[in-house]
Amino acid sequence: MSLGMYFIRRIFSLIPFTIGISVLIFFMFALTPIDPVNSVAGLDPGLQKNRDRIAASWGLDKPIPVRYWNWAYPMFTRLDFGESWTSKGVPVTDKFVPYVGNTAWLFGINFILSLIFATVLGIVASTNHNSVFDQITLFMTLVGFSVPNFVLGLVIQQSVASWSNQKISAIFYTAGGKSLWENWPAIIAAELTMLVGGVAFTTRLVRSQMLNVLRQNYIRTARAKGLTERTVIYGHALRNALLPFVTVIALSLPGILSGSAIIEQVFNFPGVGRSLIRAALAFDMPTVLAVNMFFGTLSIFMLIIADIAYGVVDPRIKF
Amino acid sequence: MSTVQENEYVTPTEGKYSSSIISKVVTVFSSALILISIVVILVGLLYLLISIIQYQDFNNQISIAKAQYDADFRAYVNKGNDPSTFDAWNPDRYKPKDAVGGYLNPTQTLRTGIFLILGAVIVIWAINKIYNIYGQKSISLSNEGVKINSFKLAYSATSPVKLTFLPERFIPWESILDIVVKKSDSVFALLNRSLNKAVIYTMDSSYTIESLSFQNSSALMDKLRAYGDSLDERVIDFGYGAQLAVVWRRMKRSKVGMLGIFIVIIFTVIAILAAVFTTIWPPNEISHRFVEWTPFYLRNPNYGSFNSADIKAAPALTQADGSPGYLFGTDHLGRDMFSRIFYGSFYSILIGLIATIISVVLGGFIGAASGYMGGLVDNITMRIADVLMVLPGLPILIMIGATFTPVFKTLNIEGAYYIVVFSVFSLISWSGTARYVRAEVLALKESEYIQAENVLGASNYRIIVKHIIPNTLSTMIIIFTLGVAGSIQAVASLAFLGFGSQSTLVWGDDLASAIRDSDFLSGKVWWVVTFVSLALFLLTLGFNLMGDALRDALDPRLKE
Repeated sequence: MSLGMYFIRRIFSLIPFTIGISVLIFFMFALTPIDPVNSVAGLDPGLQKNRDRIAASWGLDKPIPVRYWNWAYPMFTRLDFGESWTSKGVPVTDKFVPYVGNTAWLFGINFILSLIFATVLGIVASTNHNSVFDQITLFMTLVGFSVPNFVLGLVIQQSVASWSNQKISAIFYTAGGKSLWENWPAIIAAELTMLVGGVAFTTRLVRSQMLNVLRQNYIRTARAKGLTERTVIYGHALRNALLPFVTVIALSLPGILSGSAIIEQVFNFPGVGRSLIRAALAFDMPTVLAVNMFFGTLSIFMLIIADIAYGVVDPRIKF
Repeated sequence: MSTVQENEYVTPTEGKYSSSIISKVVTVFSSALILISIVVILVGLLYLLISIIQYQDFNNQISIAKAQYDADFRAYVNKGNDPSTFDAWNPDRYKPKDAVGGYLNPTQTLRTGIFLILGAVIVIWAINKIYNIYGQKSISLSNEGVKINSFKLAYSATSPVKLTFLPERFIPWESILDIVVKKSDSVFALLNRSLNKAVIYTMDSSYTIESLSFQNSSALMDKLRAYGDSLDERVIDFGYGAQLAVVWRRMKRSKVGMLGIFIVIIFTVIAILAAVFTTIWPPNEISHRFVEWTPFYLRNPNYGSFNSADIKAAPALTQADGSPGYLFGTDHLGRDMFSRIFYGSFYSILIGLIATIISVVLGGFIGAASGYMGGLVDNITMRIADVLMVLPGLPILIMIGATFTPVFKTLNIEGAYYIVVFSVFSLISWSGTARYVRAEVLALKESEYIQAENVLGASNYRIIVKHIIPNTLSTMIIIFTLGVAGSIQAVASLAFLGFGSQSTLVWGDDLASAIRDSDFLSGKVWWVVTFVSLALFLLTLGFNLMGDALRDALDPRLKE
């Protein structure tokens, strides 16, 4: 089978998985014994009086399967996610799609940087296996792994603020009217924060893969041929070590992206994650469901990309 | 084999078997329906849990309403009115209100839960019946013999020609017989006389029976049982006692791992002390007596001071008047941060543990069942697990949190909110554990002692619970330890993002309220965030270090 055919077949396999995710997400929300109208209206007597009307306007007066159909059918046929519950007349897509780009570049930069740092660290650590440097790297990656990223973000905010004798809000939070780039300290701090977790995760991966490859017979052969250590490491070992890496990275991307919620909240960055949190705090459920669908579909798409990318980089795999 | 009666070889020309298309359809549908039913049962259990919480809240509200009524009545009488004229029973005023305005009905929730569970159980039972009759795998009869795909087969001796195929692993025998199969290394037939059961073992998914013979094989049976018993003995002898010593020796090699264990033990001790030192538990009650009594700089974590000097007080060993100071300072309500971190450790660890237990146990059971049953169930489960694996957790966690926050806004039950949220979340997070455990089970399934159990007539349930799960424990422990670190972080993140529960003392809540404070933003109050973050980081690091060392010690294969 050609790569194109394989790709097309996998794209079609996207359909049942996406439907499955939509069912999962929708019923997870709909089956909870909670009345959404109450959650929004609370004990406000004015709203309580109109609760039936509110419920009808949100389509909640119908049975759950009908509600699912009314939600899912427009979504799958014309990408219509419905209308926001909290702001009248605003389509849900307006609530998070404009921010997708922001999140993407914020995490793109971080992703590339952490890949570079991690590859260097991983190679040095694995070629000096069990050395002091290796041990320290291993420990530090675990430390980096364990720091919750909001904690790190807060620590960076605090230390920068006390060092520059300025208010945290003045340095990091976008004041009204400021453009995104004028808020560069927040962006740099956010990148730094994410870099710690990203580098820790990726370094461990590169190191273990490299150790695995360096044990192989063909590396011994390459050394026996009299190749320089440099050629052995970069020409033979690294390439093979990075092969399974492609899959892992592609699969972890959606997780990293959705983890953005915390970083974006800490640094008040206008991204998808922050819009998700805002919608969730306001109980704007159509938006929450839509963002979840977005991340879910993205992750399955990445699963397919990972499969194909692995086939492309690894000549042994035939479709 | 002297007692084999040659003339009783049977050629199975007549048999009860279903056509392959119907059986395939039935198999696919029943597997899918059973999986769905399991999920429905879980949802039903969740309903039961929520209904219990709602009942508790309901009772709370009733007592509040009663107290209100009493107070009104007393005030009415004290004014000099005639008690008999007190007609202030206003249903709106004294009606118990539940979490979100009196619209949730605990009885209804309970009924829905029971209905869901019963319905799912009936569906599973019915499917099992249908599957028993129609849901066979492909069985082809020919003159060469019976070809069976991954199936246990038995012949009833009273009517030798009648074939009955059941999906269970064991089929009752009426009398004693032996099966002669085409001999190869991977196929052998055994039978169990005392339990009236016979089993054909195969490592391959298909094999051919050359012939069947009836034979009095008590000698064979004895041999078999001896074989099985000795294997069982071996399992016990080389059990966990010996293994633990080995694991501990390997653990001690890793200094970093010992550091992790040290940190975890310290925090566990703190959490236990927190429970012991509190004369009032849960520590939500405001008690001045408790404040006076405190040793070691401990105060009531929920008691805020109204003295302006105690609000946002900087960390100090002693106060101006010589009394114990606030070790970690106080927050914007004047609550002592040292006590909040001290008592918060209890819930932070407990909720992390419970959240992980729920997901690991669910994943363990699904993984063990799917690996052990194999076939289509395994296939479907693993496809689902694949997708759930890559599904990002945080957005879904936020969604669940947002859904449940309104319900628990007024509930005063510690930890209930997090437990509910994480049990819903476990519907997604079981996949990682399930994959590891399944891989383990696939290897275990072929081991000799499991086969011996099989021969002795053990049920699937017994094998899974008594042998498979104990043997996958080491994997589970590793996943669990690393999972606790993740759960503690997840709980803190959830609380930090504003989806916490006000009734539970969790570190994330402190962080969340601290960063919304204007004095933190101006850089003045640094201690709240610093100390809470430090505690959170140390605890996570401890569990991560410990889990990492455990992984090296218990199972070198799991090493990334």
